[in-house]
Amino acid sequence: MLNYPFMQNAFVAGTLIAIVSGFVGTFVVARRMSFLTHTLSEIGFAGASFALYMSWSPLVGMLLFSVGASMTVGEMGVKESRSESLISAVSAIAIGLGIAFLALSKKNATAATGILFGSIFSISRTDVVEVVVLAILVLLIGLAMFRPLRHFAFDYSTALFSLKNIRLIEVAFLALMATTVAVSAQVVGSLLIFILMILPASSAMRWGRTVWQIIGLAILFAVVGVWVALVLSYTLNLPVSFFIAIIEAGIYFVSLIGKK
Amino acid sequence: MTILTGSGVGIQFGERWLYQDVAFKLEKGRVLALIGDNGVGKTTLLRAILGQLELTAGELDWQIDVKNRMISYVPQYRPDMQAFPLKVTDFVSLSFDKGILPWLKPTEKERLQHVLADTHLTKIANARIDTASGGERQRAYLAQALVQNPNVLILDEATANLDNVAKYELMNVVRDYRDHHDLTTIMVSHDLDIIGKYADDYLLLTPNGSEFGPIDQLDMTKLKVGNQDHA
Repeated sequence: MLNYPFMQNAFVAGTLIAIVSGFVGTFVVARRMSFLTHTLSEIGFAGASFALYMSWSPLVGMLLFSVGASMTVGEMGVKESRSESLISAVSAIAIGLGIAFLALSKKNATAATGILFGSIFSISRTDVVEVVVLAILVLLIGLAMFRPLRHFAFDYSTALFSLKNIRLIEVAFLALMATTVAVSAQVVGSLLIFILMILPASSAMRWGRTVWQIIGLAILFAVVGVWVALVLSYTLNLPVSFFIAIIEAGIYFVSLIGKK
Repeated sequence: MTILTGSGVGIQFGERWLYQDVAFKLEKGRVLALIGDNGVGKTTLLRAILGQLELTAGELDWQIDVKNRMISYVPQYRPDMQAFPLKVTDFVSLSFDKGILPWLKPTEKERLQHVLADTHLTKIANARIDTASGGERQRAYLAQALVQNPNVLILDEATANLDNVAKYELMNVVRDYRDHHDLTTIMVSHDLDIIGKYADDYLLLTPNGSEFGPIDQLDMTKLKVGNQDHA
């Protein structure tokens, strides 16, 4: 199985994406911004369709749109009271634009399915390089910002008074989040962004007692989910996203019941 | 020694002055009680002291330069405050939020243990913060502020919503800590018992002016109209 280049690509990209998603997802869940990731991925969908239309790599379009949106919509969404209706409106525009660009690009339905539900097996060597570079970049920046990020995400009420450059941290965090969304959509697709970014971190939150334990468990849950799903998908010939979704949701429900 | 002198301080919101011509001194090692009706702008003054808000008029003259100035803030306890199942030690360590090292230095670990002991949290250091009582949680917030080794501590209604035992426990911890460290405190409170027992000086803010002086000159009866506390 691992002799096939497409399997090697899938394993390398999948593993790194799982690590980044678990790491960044922990802060997203702690900061209670889960729903923003979903909006960002819908905006990313518009970006990926736009990229198809322009004949770019979908990752580039996704990155461009979701990072751009995180700087504007994200800032607005952070002000919690207005966020729900605002996010609905933005999602509507994003999905609408996505459909329009898909139609304009005159690509077949496979391209759309790939963006929406992930296409890890069709990922090329160049895509793998892009994913690896981005993932490592996010991890390095995340580690360098670990201390302020941890306070920002886990106790915003006091971070507000303790961190002098909190606006800067917020913007950097949104950019990291948007990049992670764009990268992890390569595996699970933009419709299922929750299953790698939110579910493993939410499960980990049930068991971990320190921030590092939570991050470690989130990465473990994400990586195991991706690996098992890749193997199952290869043998049973069903979509990878389906298996990751079932596994991560399974881990989450077990955590929910098993640990108060 | 005076570490901060406020003179002619005024803050304006739109057309309305919250207050004008406020003068006060923050003396090293003492506790300054900031009192006044709700909405008079106590929090805006705190934010100005924290450097997050510009004064409209007057100035805050610090005797400690920016480099050596560390102001830590303890918020009001609310039962619905977000709390993750972090253990108390890790929750307190959230305050180590400067620098790029992802783990704690040995000196920071030592400082953490020291502050946990001072805030009577050593016994529950490994318990989950979300299972701690209100008083314990509030002491964890205090510990978060103290591990930063502040020279100025701000208690923003830190004893509100605490029961009668827990609020004195918290203030006793602050007082004991102050006796052994170089710490100056500003507290906002509506609790006349707490103010009378722990404050050294007071600054009363009203829309018409301010009053500053040692606490024994505060006319508490003026703050009680009817049966209500107006502090």
